[in-house]
Amino acid sequence: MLMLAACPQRQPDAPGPEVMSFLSASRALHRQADVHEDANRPSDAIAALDRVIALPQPSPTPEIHEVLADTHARLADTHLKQVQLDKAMDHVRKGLVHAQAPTFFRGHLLEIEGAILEAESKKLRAAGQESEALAKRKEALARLNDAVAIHEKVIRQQLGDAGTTQ
Amino acid sequence: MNTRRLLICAALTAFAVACGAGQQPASAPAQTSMRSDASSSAPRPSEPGARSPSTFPTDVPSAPSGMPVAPTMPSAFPTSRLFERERIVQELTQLQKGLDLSLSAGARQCDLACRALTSMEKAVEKLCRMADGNAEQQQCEVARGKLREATTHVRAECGECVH
Repeated sequence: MLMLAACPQRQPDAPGPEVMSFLSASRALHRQADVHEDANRPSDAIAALDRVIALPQPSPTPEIHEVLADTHARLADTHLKQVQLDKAMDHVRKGLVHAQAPTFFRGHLLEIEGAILEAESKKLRAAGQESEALAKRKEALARLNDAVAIHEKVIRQQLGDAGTTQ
Repeated sequence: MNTRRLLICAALTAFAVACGAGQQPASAPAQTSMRSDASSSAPRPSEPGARSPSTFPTDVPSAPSGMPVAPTMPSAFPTSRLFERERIVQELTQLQKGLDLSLSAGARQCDLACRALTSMEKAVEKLCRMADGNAEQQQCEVARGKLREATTHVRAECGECVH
């Protein structure tokens, strides 16, 4: 009964109105970006996602950091598909500022960074810059390995260690 | 997570049982005190004509004559039951809210785990596509093993991920 009495008080930390407003606006803009992506309009999708970054930001909370890291990751991925490698890498770096702990968001940004580095490596090789290309390739492999390690950890953290053999 | 759901369901069941038990003392004392003298004539629950506990309030007027019956009893019963019912509904509503919160927390955990798995699949795919030479092939195999293990874990806890 003590547990039952405690139930009504088990409220999550309610975000303030400014945070709620930010989260709501960013969700709407991400949906707009979905629509543009589905209609094969990547530049419009980028414009919608850029508006998320430009939204007035209340004092940072973990939710806001997550939204910004996720938005930068999505922007990086979209720019990568457009072969805009510098812009893609710029968004990865900005996103990593908001995802310093080993979370899904950091792992995802590192996975995209690995893909960008691989694309840069190919570009350098095509330009005849073999040693630079090899260095980028090595860097890409390291980032991808980091991403795998983080995601492995995230899954264990989210679901517990049960079900794993280690 | 499944364990948590089970615990919540067990708590809900225990609460329902406790509520059922909690209702008894409100009516039972009056009931037993009224029947104590007439226990020989009252039908036992297993006998024909025995009434279920839910019919106890209607037994009150049929108490043997001479038994002191409080004049407020017939009206007091429905009111206290109403209060009791309202309290139970309120507590169950709160419990349901707690259950919803717990399930939504579980849904978020699975959502993040599925997203992590999707990103992990992409990373492993690139890692293995780029692998060149024994050392890198070995790295690829290690990463594939981790992916297999993670996939099994996520499927066991969350079912299939919707991409």
